[in-house]
Amino acid sequence: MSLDLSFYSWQLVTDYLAKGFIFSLKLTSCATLFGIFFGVFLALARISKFKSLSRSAATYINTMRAVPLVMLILWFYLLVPLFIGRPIGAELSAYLTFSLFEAAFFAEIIRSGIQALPRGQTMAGLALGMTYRQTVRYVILPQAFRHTTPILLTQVIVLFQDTSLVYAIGAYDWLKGFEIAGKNYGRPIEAYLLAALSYFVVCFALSRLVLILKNRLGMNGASA
Amino acid sequence: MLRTILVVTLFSLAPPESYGQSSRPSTLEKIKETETITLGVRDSSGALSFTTGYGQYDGYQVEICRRIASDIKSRLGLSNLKVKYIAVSSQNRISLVQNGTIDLECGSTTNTLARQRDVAFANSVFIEEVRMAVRRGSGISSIGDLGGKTIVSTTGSQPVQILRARARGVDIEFKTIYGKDHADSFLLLETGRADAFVMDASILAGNIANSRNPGLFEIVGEPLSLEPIAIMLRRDDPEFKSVVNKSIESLIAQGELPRLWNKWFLRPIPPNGRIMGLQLSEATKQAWETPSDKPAEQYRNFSIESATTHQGGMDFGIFCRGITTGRIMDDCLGSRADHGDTTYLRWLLSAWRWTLVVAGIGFVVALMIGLPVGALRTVVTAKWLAGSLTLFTELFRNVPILVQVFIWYFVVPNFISLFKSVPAYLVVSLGLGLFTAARISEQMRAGILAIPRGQFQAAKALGLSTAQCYRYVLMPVALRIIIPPLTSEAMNIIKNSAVAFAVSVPELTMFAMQAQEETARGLEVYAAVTMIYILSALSVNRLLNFVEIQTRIPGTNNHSNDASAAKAARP
Repeated sequence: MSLDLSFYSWQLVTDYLAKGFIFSLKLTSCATLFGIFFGVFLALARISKFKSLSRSAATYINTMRAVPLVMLILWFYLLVPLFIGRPIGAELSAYLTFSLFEAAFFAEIIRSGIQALPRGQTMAGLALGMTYRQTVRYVILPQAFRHTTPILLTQVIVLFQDTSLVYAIGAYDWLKGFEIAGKNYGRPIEAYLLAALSYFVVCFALSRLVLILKNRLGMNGASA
Repeated sequence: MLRTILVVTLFSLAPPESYGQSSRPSTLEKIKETETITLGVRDSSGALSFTTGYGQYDGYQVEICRRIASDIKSRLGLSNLKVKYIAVSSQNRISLVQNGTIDLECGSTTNTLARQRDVAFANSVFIEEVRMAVRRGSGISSIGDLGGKTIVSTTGSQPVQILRARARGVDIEFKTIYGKDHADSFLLLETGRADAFVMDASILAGNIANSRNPGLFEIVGEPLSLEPIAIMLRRDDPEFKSVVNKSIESLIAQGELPRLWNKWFLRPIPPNGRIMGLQLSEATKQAWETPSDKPAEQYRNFSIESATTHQGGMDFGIFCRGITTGRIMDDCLGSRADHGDTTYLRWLLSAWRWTLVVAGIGFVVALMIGLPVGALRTVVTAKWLAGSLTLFTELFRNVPILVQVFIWYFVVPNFISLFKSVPAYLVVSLGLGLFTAARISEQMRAGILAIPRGQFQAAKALGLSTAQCYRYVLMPVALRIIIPPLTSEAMNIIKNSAVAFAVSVPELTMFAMQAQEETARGLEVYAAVTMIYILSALSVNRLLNFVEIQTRIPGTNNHSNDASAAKAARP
């Protein structure tokens, strides 16, 4: 079977792909920002001395990590309206789900970054007369972020690929754009091949960027 | 003034119970106030409802909805009425109508009794026939010819259930597989992985018209069932329903429907000028003569019981229902002997097994490829080899797993015919395995690099070959270091195995989507499936934690998974 190259046209990009690509980008950036924000607090709670706090953070993180994302997406979509008493659109629901889901992953990464630091750092901070808050803010977190930036960014690449799961609630992301074009023109194979290539180009470029960043930070190969 | 009178009149026409049910404004009030009507549409439902790109939607049902909207506009005396489209899916369409996000759903929804408990339907002007598409010359021309064949239908749709019910009557055994969507189902037929595609005739016609070589396929067989397709609207707003029905009646009276039929089913349509070639059926003609909102059940001469109680709360009894008859069975585990039917519980357990099989094989593949590749990447110096190993890793982790699996299943067999005979579950295992291998190879590499260089040099100085260094010195330490990330990969592969449904492996996610459609009890089905996923992932987590503890080098503490601890493990 040969490929029907006439399927590939500029119109394909403007009519089907652009809109989905923008949504995937928006979803990725929103989930990254909120995910890291919540993730920091979750990570701090997870390593907190207060048992109840650390336990509830651990429960949250483990549950989020044990459920397939597509199931979470469906759950949020079904359940949130029951709680707040009014419907939320597929896109808003996706933003919410991804932010909360990614927070669990980012939290674990940030925690590993914090725990990899020698205890002495905290002690030194406290010894200098800083409060715990100041120590975390000015000593621990900057170093933890520096060490984990490559892993965080790698997770962002995974996140970008995962946005394709919003098909379950009918949101229109990049992959959906390819699929619908494939369906409405009857050329699914051409559409999927182009999708694979496009995702590869974007994600590969991003992962090269991570590598450059790693080298800049002088830590190539130093993190697992 | 006129408007006020109109609104007051319309208000007084509304039956009193609608006030008791909810205090929200009627649909007409909402439309009047916002000067907007929201239509629920489908991205790709044949010629009934589809996108023509960038937020534009068209199709037979959509055009009828637009006509209704313009009638509403003049009825409300609005000078301007904005028509807004929201794309819906079969998973969300009902809740979006219920909660008022969309005013009219103009897709391809069948009017059924179960759905009538949640939403109302306008009179049907399109009666779908469920039929079969086959390759020309396949010798299949009716249900009777299906013995021993493979039938494909689409996840989350009804036809398979109908076929099951019909086939039971004539005592025929066939294999059923499910496509992720209609296009995938058709592709299964096109690539010879299925012998017949059972679906709504308009969708079959659309897929055939769209294919590379429409002459290769034909629609055959008596209609397996008649499905009244109807516009969905809110249940607690009978006044709005009568307005919509009046509008439909006037379309019929003006003789507009035959014109619309020609336009959408017999003439070239966007986006690429294909012709559906769907002849007007007797049943549809009948529906135009005597419009009604009869549910599908009244068109059928066989019965599928659906869950009857629909008060709030969970009813896990649905898992004891038979998948063919919908009747609650005495033997909830549903052994085949019981009336030749089986239960949703049995199906769920078999789906669980498929998930574990696919994930298990996938993980073995991932370890067998990922670990050596990762280790090799730390040792090879030849540029081409290092380059191709990196390429392998980058290629397989930078393309969404869904796309990879699809390519292995549908695209690769076109170029390597050996792949045609590989069963779907192995294809998915391979795809998942390679995707995970790419990630594991990175972890293995990092694990080895985390070991101080001195270890390697010391081993070399003792006269070990490079291979021996890896085998006896580096790998034992590195493997222990990477157990935690391997644990998350093992949990991930169970979750990622959900993509197997894309190539019709009957695993948990496919079960969830199909069963929620058949039973109309989404909450219970999703709850059960989610619990099973959590249970599986956590068991794997416990198992690997156990392995981690058992293989721990004696004398090291809990945090043995870093390089410094490994260093401390020196005798």
